[in-house]
Amino acid sequence: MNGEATLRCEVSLGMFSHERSVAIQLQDGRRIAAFVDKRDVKVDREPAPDQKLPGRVRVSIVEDRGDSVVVDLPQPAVTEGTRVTVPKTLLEE
Amino acid sequence: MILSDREIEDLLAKRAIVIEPPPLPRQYTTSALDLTLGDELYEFRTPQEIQQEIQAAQPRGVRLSVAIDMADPYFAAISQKYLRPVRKEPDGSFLIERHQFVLGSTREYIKLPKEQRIAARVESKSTLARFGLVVHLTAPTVHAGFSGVLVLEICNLGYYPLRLVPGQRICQLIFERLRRVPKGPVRTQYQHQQGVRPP
Repeated sequence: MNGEATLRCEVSLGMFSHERSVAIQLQDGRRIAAFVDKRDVKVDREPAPDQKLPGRVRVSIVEDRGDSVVVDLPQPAVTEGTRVTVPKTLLEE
Repeated sequence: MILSDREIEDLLAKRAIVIEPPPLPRQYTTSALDLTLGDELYEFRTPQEIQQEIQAAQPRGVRLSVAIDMADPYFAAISQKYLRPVRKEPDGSFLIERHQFVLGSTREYIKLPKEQRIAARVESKSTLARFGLVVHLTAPTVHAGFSGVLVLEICNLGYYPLRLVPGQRICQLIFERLRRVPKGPVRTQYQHQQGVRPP
């Protein structure tokens, strides 16, 4: 694992056509939103307006804390900034 | 330390940082790189329009708030309801009225890998600022590790409507080198990943 991973999330359309909105579950149970470039998102198909699809967003792993990991998102979350702590079970290569 | 045009060119040539489409020679200045306006602009619908829309489905006497909940994880979906595309003029340009606030973006995609120790700041162009055009509101920092298209918070604070043309130089990016590599990415093992399937 080279420090880059993907994080499971829910994907919906962003404000701009080049971006997507991702809803991410944090280790503390809260869910947050971030706008990210669509190149950093993996999803089976393009979400329709108002549709939320399961998908993954590219993240950079900053710290391994056992059951959780600190990751940097490609762009800041709306309320949390870039660096967030997420359950390790949500990470994939 | 702010990077010069030579250093920016070197980083791009080595693919240490990514800008797509690649900048043209005329986009460089001595210590910054000009970025261009993308093809989409959005404006917020008025609170009155939104209120009318959400009230239509409510029983008489029930009044809902039009406030946007910034902590809502589906904030983006909500905010889409509040936005509409800015209509293009017949020649493809956008007319930004006095005191109008719109969201735009750069045409360029930017990627600043952490290990390259490069961050950047987006700033207005002085010539546009003379006419009252602001292209970002308190959010100039492009952090090391960022990848994406830069969203611009554009406001016409001047006295006259301003015409903007997609592809025109709209802002400048000033690159700075970090003294140390930021934390991450670190290698790790996903011991709990057995059975987790891609969605």
